Amino acid sequence: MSKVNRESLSALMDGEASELEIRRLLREDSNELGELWTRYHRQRSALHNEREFRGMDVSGSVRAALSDEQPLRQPVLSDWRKPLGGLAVAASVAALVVFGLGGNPRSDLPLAANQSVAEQGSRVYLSAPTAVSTGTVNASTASTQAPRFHSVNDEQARQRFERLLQQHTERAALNSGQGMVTYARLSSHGTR
Amino acid sequence: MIKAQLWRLLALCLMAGTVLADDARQWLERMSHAHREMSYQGVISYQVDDRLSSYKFTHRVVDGSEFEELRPLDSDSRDLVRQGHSIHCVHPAEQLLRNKSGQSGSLGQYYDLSLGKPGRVAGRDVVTLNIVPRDVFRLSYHLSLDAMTAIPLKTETRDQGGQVLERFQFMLFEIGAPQKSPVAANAREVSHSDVVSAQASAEILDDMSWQPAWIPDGFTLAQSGEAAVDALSYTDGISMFSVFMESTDKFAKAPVASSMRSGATVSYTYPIPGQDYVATVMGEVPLLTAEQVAKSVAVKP
Repeated sequence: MSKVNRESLSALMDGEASELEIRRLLREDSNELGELWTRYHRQRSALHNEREFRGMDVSGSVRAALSDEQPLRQPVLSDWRKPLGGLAVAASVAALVVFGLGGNPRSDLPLAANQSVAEQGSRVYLSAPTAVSTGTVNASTASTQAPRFHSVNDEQARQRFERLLQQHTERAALNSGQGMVTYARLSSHGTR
Repeated sequence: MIKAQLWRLLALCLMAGTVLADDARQWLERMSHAHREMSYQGVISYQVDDRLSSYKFTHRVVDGSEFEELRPLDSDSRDLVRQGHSIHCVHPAEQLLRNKSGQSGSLGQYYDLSLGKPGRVAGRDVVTLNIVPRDVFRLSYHLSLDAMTAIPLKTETRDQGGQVLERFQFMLFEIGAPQKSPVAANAREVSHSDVVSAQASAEILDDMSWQPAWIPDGFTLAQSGEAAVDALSYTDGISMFSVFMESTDKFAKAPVASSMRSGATVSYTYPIPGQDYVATVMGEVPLLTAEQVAKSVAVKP
């Protein structure tokens, strides 16, 4: 690994990395870089006498957070916009990573902060296929709060969801440690 | 010198953590079968987003057989009953928890288990158990188990960001149930599919004309449905998802990749390129998991 990257990583640890440095590090995506990052953190945890270091891979949870998010607008098809979208995603990744540094990455993800437990009133939400690299802007890059999932207007899709949910629940109920209580997931759906 | 002391302190902390995790594992193992072995009844609520629904729940064990009844209290949905299910029947997830929760178990490879502060739910003392995944392919669970019986009185499922997706909670809970309660005439009986052994699961996979090429580490085949249903279910002992395969003929319009969510349950539907089949993954997992599994489904040549 280059000395430049090593220094940038160290700066990122101290919260002093510039946006360009963060982007360069994210592009790198090497195991070596990840291992060094983990080692730096373990050392810091030991020095500060923090609790057990879990070795959680932040880049993984960033990916999960992105794929769970509803795109604000539909993917644009024209080619010239693609690089723009790519940049926007990179910026949002950077934002997530920086937020995640404060301590436990799980509790610090902005996802938790800007979404309330009570979302929409309707029952099932449909989200468009997540197309991270095709010119989509994710909610965390925008200042407005958008619902993560649209309500479903498609009656056929809803019925299909309920039919599969029933089959899944019949399999899952015996394996959940809760027994039949999980059937509430089904009957909360309607009067059938 | 100071550094050495720091290291010793750190080691001590880690050891204390291990002991606590063992306690947590024992509670989890107890929970996996406690809810089936005794009679109890109560009122339970189910909360998703801003919706709250409540149910009267009865679980009775008579001569080694389970009888369960779930009666909606605030809708005109039908009652659900299940009966004649032997309590000695060990289910795959339970098996996983029993094997994995031992000292050498591998459950700890996928989840961090810890006990939280004791509390009160439905007027009873509870121990709280936090189950937090170590990777991005699972959800986290916050359970409140009855301190006496280890039956879960409150279950919160949270996403990777810590947001509560759904919550089951007993409002009223009592041990013991009336010997005989009348079953509503229009109640729907819920079936109990047979459990698949590890050996049989290999045979099932052989017989299937398709299967996912990728599933997250730690998940194993839980049980398969009746022959007529093209579906496979997987569990890691705590989370569960099912993979369904359907022909495109069943769709009125050409299916497109899409996802849906209700509470902790997500589904990801994916038309397999170049084939007349649609794979759907549904389960209590992050959307990322459902999507990756669905996209990996391959039809055997």
